[in-house]
Amino acid sequence: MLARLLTLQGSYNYETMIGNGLAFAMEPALRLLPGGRNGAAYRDAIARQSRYFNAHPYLAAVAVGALARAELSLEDPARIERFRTASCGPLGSVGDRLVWAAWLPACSATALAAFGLGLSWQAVVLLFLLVYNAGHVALRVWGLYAGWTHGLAVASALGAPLFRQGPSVLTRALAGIAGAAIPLMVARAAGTRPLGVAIIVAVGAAGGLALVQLEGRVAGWRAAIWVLTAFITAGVLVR
Amino acid sequence: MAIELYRVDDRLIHGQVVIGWGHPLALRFIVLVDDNVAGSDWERELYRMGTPPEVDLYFETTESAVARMPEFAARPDPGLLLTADVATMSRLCDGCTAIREVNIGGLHHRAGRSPCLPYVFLSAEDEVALKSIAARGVRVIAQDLPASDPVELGDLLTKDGA
Amino acid sequence: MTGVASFVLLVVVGALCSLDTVSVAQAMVSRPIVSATLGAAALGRPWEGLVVGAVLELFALETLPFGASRYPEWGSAGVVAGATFVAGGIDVPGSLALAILAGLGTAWIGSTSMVWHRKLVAKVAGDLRDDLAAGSAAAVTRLHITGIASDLWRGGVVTATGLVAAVAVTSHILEAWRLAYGPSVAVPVIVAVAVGMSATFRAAKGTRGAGWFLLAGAAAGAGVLGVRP
Repeated sequence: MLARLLTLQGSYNYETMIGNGLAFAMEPALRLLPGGRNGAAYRDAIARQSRYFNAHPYLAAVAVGALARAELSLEDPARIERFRTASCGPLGSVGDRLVWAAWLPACSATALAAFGLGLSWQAVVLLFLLVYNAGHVALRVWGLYAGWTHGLAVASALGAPLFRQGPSVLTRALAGIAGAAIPLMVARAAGTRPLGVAIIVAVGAAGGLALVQLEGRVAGWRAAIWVLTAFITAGVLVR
Repeated sequence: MAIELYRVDDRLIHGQVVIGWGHPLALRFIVLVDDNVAGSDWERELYRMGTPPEVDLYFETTESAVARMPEFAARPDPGLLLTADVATMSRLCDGCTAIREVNIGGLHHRAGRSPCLPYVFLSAEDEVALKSIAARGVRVIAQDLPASDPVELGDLLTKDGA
Repeated sequence: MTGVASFVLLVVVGALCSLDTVSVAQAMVSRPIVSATLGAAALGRPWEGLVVGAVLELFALETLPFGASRYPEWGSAGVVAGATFVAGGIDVPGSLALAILAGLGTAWIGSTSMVWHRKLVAKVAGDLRDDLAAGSAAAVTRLHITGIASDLWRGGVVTATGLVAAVAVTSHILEAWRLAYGPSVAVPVIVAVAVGMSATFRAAKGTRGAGWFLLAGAAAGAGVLGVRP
């Protein structure tokens, strides 16, 4: 099941989202239902679990464990359905806050700092992948274990300090690391002296503040496509 | 500041809400309006776990939400109101004339619903309810995240999932 | 290695990095600091890939891959950017700006292609709806494998498209380039810093005390730069 969890989003689509992946990940456990693969309980469970579901891909392991436990305990299907509906949002929220908004950018900023400090390409890439995936794999393993252990009462496990306080602790770390990493990586990427770095970072920070004022209405990377297209056109045409 | 966004989203509290909108709006409270959730201990617990500790979360029924709306409007910090379906938002609009804009943030596939956008699937009843909200002069738009292009109701109802 | 062999190798690396974005593992091999390095390493010049990947990583700090929302696909984008930077030359004026634009453009194509891919998988799911509703594990597996294979194919096509477009314009643009080396590097880095800083500011804004950590970090970074020979 753990290996299958790594492909949880393999059949991601706009109708059932990761519902089919949930059923695919859980299927080995469902073989233990009365009647095995040929039993009605197995088919009913597969049908239920392959319906719409969406959550953070790592934290969805909690749902996989909890729902597998509920199915094998022959829990009331209506309660299973209610849990599937109710767990989508919170498992998405917890995972998005902890991983996408905090752990991933903190690891990314760490890799940028390592680059800025002069580490080799092998060291930067390995540092990033090893540190990030230590957290990633631990979260999937914990999720499956917690879901299986607590079943449909798994909400209490999400109250652990890691999930409540972790995002803000990691965000502070992200801010500190990014603050140090950006001037260091600018110096190495642009190959400039401290004065040049200060100018690039100051102008960039002003641009960053302007983007923040837009309250997220403009995606920076898309705006950058137009800015760089204009710059490259100027770079070719200017005399 | 009061409630800055009235959103219909069948996942209720998730990443798009607490980070996607939560960070740019600097949200400090969320009003979750759902008659089923308001009456279920374990579901309330689950949604509370999905909410950042620094954000206040209120569970309300449709009726209690309408009654408490002046209190939420008087708060000095920015908030967001969520319902899981169009019918609940429509009833809120009936009871509260302060709502000037409704955001359709996520209504996903279910039997009887047709695709309009990748994140919006509507049933015939949803369409009728949305039109009745708009008929009150409330702007109805579909927009999952602040950086996405908002889609007006008229355009939304002519889309076929593209 | 011949041009064709290099192209095929890059497409394979791009497809695999792209697959990591959503469908398989999400081990962040798809992040530009890795994928750009791998793309350039496929051409024997990993250092160039790390430089352009680090700049693109600042853009990626802004990416939050939420549910059905549209977000850039950095796996194939990084590979194309790394290869473009190697083709243009690390010391050539305009090369970094062009490689970054090639990466961002490919990320945009990748983002659009993910929407098409997800609609295609939804269509297959629709075709299998009766079997899935009947609890067929074979239908679950078939839909899953179809989705993964389709995403691998998508990543390869996006990488190939980005590479062909970049190869078609790189030499022409760099030959016609007029600006000096300094600003040709500074401008794309400033744009990247602006996007990366906006993501950091936004995160810090919602967390008490994070602003002080940002300032302390910046002071530490500046201090290291100041004392470094």
